[in-house]
Amino acid sequence: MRELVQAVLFAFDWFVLGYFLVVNTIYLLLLCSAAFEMRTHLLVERSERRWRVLQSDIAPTISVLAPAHNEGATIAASVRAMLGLSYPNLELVVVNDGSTDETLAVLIATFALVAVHPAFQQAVETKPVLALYRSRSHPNLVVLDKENGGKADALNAGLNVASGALVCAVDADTIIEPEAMQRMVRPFLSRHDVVAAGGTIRIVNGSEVSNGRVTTVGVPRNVLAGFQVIEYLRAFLFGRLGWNRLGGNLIISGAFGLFDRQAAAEAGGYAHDTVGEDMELVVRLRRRSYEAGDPKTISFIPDPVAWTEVPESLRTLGRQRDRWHRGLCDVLRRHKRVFLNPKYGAMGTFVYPYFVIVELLAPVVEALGILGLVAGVVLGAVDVSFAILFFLVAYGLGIVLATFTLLLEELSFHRYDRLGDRALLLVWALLESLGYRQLTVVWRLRGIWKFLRKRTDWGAMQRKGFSSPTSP
Amino acid sequence: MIVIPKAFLRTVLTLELAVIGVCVAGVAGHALWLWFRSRADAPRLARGHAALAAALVAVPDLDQARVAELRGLPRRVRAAVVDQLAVSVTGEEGRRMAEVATTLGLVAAAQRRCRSRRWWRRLLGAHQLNVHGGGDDIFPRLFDDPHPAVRAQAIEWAGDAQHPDLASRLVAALGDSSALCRRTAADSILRAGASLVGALAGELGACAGQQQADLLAVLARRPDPRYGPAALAAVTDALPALRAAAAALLGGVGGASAGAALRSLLADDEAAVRAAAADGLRRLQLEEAVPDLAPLLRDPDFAVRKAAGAALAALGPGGTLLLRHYAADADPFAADMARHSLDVAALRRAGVTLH
Repeated sequence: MRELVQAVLFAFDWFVLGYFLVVNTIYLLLLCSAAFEMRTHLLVERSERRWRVLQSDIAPTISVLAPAHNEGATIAASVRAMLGLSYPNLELVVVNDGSTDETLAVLIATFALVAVHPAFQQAVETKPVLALYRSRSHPNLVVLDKENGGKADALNAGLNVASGALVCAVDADTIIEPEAMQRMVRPFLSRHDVVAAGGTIRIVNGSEVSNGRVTTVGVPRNVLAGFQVIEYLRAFLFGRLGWNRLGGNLIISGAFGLFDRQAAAEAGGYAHDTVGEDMELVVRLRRRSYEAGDPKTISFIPDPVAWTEVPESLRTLGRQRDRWHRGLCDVLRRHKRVFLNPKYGAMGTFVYPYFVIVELLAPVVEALGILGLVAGVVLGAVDVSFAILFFLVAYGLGIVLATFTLLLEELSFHRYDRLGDRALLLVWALLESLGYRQLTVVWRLRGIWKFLRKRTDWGAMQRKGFSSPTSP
Repeated sequence: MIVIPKAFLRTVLTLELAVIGVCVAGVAGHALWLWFRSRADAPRLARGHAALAAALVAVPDLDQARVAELRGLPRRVRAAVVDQLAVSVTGEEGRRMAEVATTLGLVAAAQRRCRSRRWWRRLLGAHQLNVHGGGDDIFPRLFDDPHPAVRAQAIEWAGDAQHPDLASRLVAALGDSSALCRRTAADSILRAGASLVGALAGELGACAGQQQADLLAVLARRPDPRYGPAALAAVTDALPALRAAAAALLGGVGGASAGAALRSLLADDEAAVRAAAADGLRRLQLEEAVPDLAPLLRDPDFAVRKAAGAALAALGPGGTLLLRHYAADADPFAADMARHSLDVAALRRAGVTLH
């Protein structure tokens, strides 16, 4: 029996070693790619005159799609903040997705809305549209009232009504940087093959917000929010930026993303029956472009473009993470034909397999690794000092990536400008791999389990609200 | 039994610790450096801004004593002070700023950068020359630069220079392999304004096919009667993009022949051409075209129906009457568009400007 266990552990040891090598090689590539991309980005950006885009007649029209469901209390402020974005050709399409509160009444009263007979191209099927409104006070505001169909359905309705060449999907609770549109439109202006673009989403917890703008950037003192700051920085500055040069991204954050309207509509818009609709649309757009023989890319810009609030309770965070992982499972299952398929170029042979092997299966391998190590120690097949050493090496790599990302942030945007905040960030980076990371493994495993049991609920997201500066 | 030797793990761990140490030191060191530099630079920048402002307002010539004060600042601060202001001044103030930049050696430094083998140095140099001036001898060479961002700077300069000899360069750049250069060329042509119209009209007559379509599409945003003959000739071209661009331009040019050409294009096989022709007739305010436009409310293409509806709503009582008639049309798409156009027209009549 003991020999059998040892043989299994031996094989497992090889497997873990191989996995470790593959993953770290990819991480190293991403690290180098991200650093190179950041450098190029900064070198080009310092020689740009963004006001030229602002004053340009050729700046493409952007339609911001803002779905709203029972947001009567905040909708007027959110719409005002979005109307204040600094971009010349901007259209704001607010979709009232069957609200049962006073959302529509507030919009009508605040923005002097007048009903016009709806006539638009039904490029994507949606729940019935009840009315279309234009504003007497804001020429670029369009409000669509429709039956409730969920976020994806509301975005699709907005996609049908939008007139811009580009559409920007925004979560109602996202705070957008005033210059975000000027920055996000850049990939579409400089490349012909860009079908969607995303930017860095930052965490607003710990910062001060006033009139829909982040006025003072700060690092959250809350441990969970602090760890998520590190996670977000790593995901955006190291992960997504790195993919720009290694085959393109597969994800654009649902909180803020810019899409080619025609391509998104032709692809059928957002899928209703998935919890990962933002990633699903991106993968579908790329997949279709390969199938049409005209590969398109998803561009990522490292500039901070939007701010979002993250959960500060384990329960809410756990629900969010298991939903994200269910979404990942679902999208990768739907597009399984892409896996290792050379027809899909770099996306099929490298990017998609990475998402399967590393992003999807990492929690499984990590959990098995920990269990195997513990079992080995208990059974005497592995000595304790080896187990500790192995554990330190594995999690040390997480700290390497986290601190490298902080260095990248420091050398580029350094948005956290207080010395104390930088010190706190370093503390969160050094501690994040010890305890928090293991928790995310549990949540992601729960996501896989729920996916296998075909659970499709979203789970409630409890938010604390943005902190405003105290009155003088 | 264990495959991975402990020594290997120890080596990896040591390496990881070293990298973490370097990163932490890098973050801390850079943060401290920025902190010290910002403290040291704040009074220098304030001094620099004050000196620059005083130098610029002095009449009739620049206050050289204040310029000398600027020269006493570190090169980085000096450049920052001038760059910050230079992007926001034009005319006489812009000329004086250029003089300050030249006196301080910023222009010579930018010219040297433009000759560098490194693309980012050339880009920075070209950018600075675009801000301060002094690149007339350098930029023509940069049109052929291997890096698109550098070429785009040269194209930007050509638009700002507004010299007729550069029109052909701008038109050629519309066909550049880089989307950045193509868009910059379109933007520069539009910024160049009236001074290039004659030269661009000549270029328009000389080119053909896709190149002519691209140029017409840009010029349609700033139409001029001198582009009219080339646009009229293009309405019968085999290339749909060219016919659509010609229709868009003719809508802004006007004249009897433009109206007749646009009316003929309402029956074009390509939806984009029909939509552009309908939109052109709206801009021309050609009321005689109302009977030709009305049937387009039943067009299978949404963009054509929308353009026809908007045109009818804009073409006086005749158009409104026909829209009312079509509001009860058996074709639900035509009826929807007619009702929508009537509602939007009512809003416009009430003084509401719509996007």
